[in-house]
Amino acid sequence: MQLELFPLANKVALVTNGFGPVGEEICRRLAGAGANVWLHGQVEEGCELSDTMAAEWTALGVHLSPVRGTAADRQTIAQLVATILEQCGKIDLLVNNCQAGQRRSFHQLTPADWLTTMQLNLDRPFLFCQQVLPAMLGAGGGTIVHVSSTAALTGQISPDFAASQSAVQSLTKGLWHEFHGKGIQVIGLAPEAKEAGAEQSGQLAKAIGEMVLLLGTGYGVYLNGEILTVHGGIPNG
Amino acid sequence: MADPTVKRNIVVVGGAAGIGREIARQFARSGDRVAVADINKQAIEELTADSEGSIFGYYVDVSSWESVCHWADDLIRRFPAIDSFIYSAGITNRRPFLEIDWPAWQKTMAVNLHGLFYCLKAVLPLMRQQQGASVVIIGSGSAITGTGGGVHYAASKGGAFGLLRALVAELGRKGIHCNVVAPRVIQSEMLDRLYPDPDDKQKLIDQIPIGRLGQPADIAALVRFLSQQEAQYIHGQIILADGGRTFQAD
Ligand SMILES: NC(=O)c1ccc[n+]([C@@H]2O[C@H](COP(=O)([O-])OP(=O)(O)OC[C@H]3O[C@@H](n4cnc5c(N)ncnc54)[C@H](O)[C@@H]3O)[C@@H](O)[C@H]2O)c1
Repeated sequence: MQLELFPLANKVALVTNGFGPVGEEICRRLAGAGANVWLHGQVEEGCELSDTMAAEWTALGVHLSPVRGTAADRQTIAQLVATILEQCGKIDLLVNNCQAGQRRSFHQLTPADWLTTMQLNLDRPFLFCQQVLPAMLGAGGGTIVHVSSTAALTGQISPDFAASQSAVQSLTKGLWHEFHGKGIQVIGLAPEAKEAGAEQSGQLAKAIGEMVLLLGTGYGVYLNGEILTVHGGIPNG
Repeated sequence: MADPTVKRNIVVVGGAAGIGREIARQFARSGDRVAVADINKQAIEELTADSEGSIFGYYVDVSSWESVCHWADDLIRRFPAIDSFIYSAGITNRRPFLEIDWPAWQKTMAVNLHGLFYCLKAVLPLMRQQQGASVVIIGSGSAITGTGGGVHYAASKGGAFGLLRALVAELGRKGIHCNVVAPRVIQSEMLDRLYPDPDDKQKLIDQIPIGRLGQPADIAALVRFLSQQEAQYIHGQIILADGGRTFQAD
């Protein structure tokens, strides 16, 4: 098999909730393979994207779209998708990174915390899928990847996080079921739940970047509808 | 064996209709004290009226944290220690993915998923912390298959799986075992709304190896089994109750 040097040349990718090690690895891989990458993500209130970071991304050819606030801002999402479609004419790959969360117990978890996690990990992917799918359907195809986590099965990190992960996996199944006959691939990746900065979390982020690259190139068509666990051979439990 | 003469305190959220109502009735018939919480006032009244005082009705809108807190404050007076908590509240409004508008998405999440969290948050502190106490969540097979009530419904029901697993360690140490029961097609008001046409119902039946739709009593029997101390070792499980539909070979 001959692998192309830039297998994603002329492809347009949108990566959401992407400011973080996993999102950045994904963008690096996709941009490195020649894709036109748009990175949307949460930037903490009061915290700016550094100039060096912005310059680095621009050099890679990645368009940045930072947002503030956790509410699912439907208008911002619609505008971003409209801008991409205007400038590039299509979106081939949508990667919804659904991994916002922090360690806490059920006791510590407040209703407000719960809703914030759901907005980031569940409402946003829903809104992005709704905005992007018509264009994908119009173009005759596209790939959607949802990056969730094994916490869906194990309950790790926190109750809100784990619930959002299993919910997004069911969202993946539902979308696959409705759109698989229409040229759309919907695939889930479930990396082992690790906190950012934990041992091997860098390797895990790289592995996710590589998997997204593989799926983006179209090598994963036969995986449509699957949720793939990515744990480096060291499963939990 | 549990002593059958000891009355247990049971709470059924979404217990005024369908599967939840049958669960409430079965517990009441076996002598337990049952609190039913639901948004449908009329259905609550009808249910409590013919329960001979064994079922107490409460109004709650599970999609509102304030409403849930208000209800829990009320509940604690008559049900100071709860033995079993069952969550059966749910809504469905099936439509194609691209036609799920924002209010429909939000409402489905609010009742099926956020409401589950709100109720657990409010009720778990009122539960008896002793061996044999239990939680049963009515989930749905659609969370596994992605089919059924639409993508929003599937996603909302999927959330219960991760939440369940996250509670296993904490609740287990308190003696409380918890599980999800995931039905697929059960004869209820909800199913009538989803499949009003008898021909469509027949098509469903044709897909079910057991050869009939599920009845609320099928689910209620399983929930009652899971709610007792004898079932304590079944903890953290998702039990599909579907007459074999999900695993039938074509
Ligand atoms: N019937 C089926 O085929 C089927 C299949 C799979 C899963 N389920 C699940 O089983 C559960 C029960 O479903 P059912 O078939 O008995 O439906 P149902 O509509 O007959 O009963 C649901 C109950 O929830 C109550 N409810 C709705 N919104 C509420 C709110 N905001 N606050 C409080 N109560 C509220 C309703 O008033 C009703 O009494 C649901 O969670 C449903 O998702 C049902």
